[in-house]
Amino acid sequence: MVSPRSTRPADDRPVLRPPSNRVERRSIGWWTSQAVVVVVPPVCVLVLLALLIEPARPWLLLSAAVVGVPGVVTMAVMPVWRYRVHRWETTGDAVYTRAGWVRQEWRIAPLSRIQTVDTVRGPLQQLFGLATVTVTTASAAGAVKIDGLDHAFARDLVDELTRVTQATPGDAT
Amino acid sequence: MSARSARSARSARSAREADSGWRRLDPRVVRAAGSWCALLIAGVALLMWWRGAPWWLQLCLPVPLLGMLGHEVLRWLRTYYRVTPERIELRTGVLVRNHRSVLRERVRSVDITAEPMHRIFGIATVKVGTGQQAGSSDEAALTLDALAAADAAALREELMRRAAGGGAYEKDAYDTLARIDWRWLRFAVLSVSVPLLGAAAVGGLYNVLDTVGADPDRVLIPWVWDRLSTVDLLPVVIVASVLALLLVGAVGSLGLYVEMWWGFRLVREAGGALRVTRGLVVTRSVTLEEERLRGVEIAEPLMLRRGGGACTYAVATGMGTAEEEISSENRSALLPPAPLGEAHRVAAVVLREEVCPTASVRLVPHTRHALGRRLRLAFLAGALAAGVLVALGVWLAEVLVQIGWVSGLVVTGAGALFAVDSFRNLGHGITGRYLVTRHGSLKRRTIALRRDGVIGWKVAQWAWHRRSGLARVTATTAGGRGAYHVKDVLLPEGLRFADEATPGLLRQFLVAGHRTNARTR
Repeated sequence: MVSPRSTRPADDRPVLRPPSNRVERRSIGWWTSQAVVVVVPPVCVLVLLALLIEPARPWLLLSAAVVGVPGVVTMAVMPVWRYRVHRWETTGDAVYTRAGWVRQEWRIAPLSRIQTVDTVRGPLQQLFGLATVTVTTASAAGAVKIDGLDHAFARDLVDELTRVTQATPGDAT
Repeated sequence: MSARSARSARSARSAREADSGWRRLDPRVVRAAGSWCALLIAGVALLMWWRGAPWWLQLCLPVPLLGMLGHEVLRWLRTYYRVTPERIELRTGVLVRNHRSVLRERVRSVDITAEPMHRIFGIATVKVGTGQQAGSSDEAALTLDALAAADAAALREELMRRAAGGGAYEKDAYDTLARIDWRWLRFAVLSVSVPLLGAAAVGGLYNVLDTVGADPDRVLIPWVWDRLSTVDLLPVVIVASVLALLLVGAVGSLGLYVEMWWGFRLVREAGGALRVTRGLVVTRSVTLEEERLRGVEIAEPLMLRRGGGACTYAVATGMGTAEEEISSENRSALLPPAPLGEAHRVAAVVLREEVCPTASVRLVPHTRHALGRRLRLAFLAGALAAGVLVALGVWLAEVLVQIGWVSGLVVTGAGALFAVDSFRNLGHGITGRYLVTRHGSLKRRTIALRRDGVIGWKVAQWAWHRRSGLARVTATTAGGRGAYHVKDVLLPEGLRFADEATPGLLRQFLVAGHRTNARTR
């Protein structure tokens, strides 16, 4: 990172630098529990049915494996992977995030184009004291989301972003 | 005497309405709705008589007509609208009252549609759009169903005059930018709708025969089958029936084209708004305020592209979403399927450029990594098709193994052809005020997007593309589909493109790429 060329941002082979802030470490727990909630119930149901219905047992166990093996792998890999990828940053004129795991996504939204800023807290997130900050623009292509922030911190961030964007004139299209 | 008092009562009531400004819809909506209903019921009655339905079923027929009429009368009675200097308001709803109010300065589009029954009775539906949010154009609209045709036109002019900033607006001052050229009719048959319409015609015929009681399943089809089995030249019969199907489909496509584009005219009004009028049976008029325009899209479906034709769409805020694009109600169409040169000319005029950016741009082709990815996907699709069929064949029947091999080869081959074509079509570039991106094979899209209309960037990359650097760079915008992609571009090149398109936004997040491998350099 201390190569002399890194001082020239518009190098002929530019890359996106990681946003400066990590999300809360508690997010690993949240993502794990999300995966558990999605994977475990169907596998349990399939195994239970396999125990009860003798003739269809191999097929039911097979489908339990088809759902369960990738599910368990996801549970083991995804949360830590996500924690290493998910980062965010706000500068004087833009919101910048990196998210995803197998498919990484960087998003940049200029503050001058922001329409609304709000927080979402699902039941699992509340359990871990986390919140998601959602920044919407006029584009139909979806909002910029910052997952896994401490919920009190998220509230402050929303207040700050709202203040900054309200100071910007125009209808953000 | 009584006539005079009635007239004076009416004038008193209209004076009262004029005071508050609340107006009713045109009363002819009741007659138009009633006529549709009566036509439908006449048809059903005819069918019932033909099939010999029991008398009590026939007696029930007028019930829906009366219900429909009652609903329309109630709806007419309870619907008021008002246009004040600041806002346009609509109060409606038979059971649930609804009061909707739109600020006139927010009005961005006024569309007028008249279906056949409306045209017979001289009324038209007005839709007022605010263009606030792509994807929710329907919710944002305020619909007046329906006004007298003259009132509708006057309302449109009044609202658009306000949107154009008042002042110099003359009713008939406009430039005609494009009108229909019936030589373009040849593009109607270069469409996937030909086989689809042909198949639909067969399905429709089957349904009609079934409804009138000809029983196609047990009588007609066995009869046709018997006749066919006596004919020696079965291949000839098959080819002939496929050709007949395509012919029917082609006639249907031509008819659709004529219905949709009859009297097509694209004009620019004095205030700068663009207006498209078209339609033979259903007439449509779409007005698009110029400040909502973010760019244009030239779409070339495979067959149309082979024939040298293209479709032209506006990329504008609040003009609807991707799913609207295929429907005949597409409001962002600027031109019927027409020669590519004409599409470029009209796009240039609409954007007020000398040359259309989609034509003047020098597109940067993408590297062979993109081709490799597409070929791998084609091979995977083929392998999957073959794998599933062969596995089933080993387990169930020998013949499936053969089918599996063949279909695997066919899928891989066709996929490879599409992969090469779509790789050749990939490109991106910047020209003047626009960024341009092109992709697609079955439908090649070339999009020119105004650089100042970009409201954000999105970069996506799969984990297994990190070494090669293949990524998708997406510009988000308030118009059209909301996001326009540069697909399968090497990340440094994509970032350079984005940085150049919107100077200053990306720069702060870029660093020199000394960490990437030098292999591809």
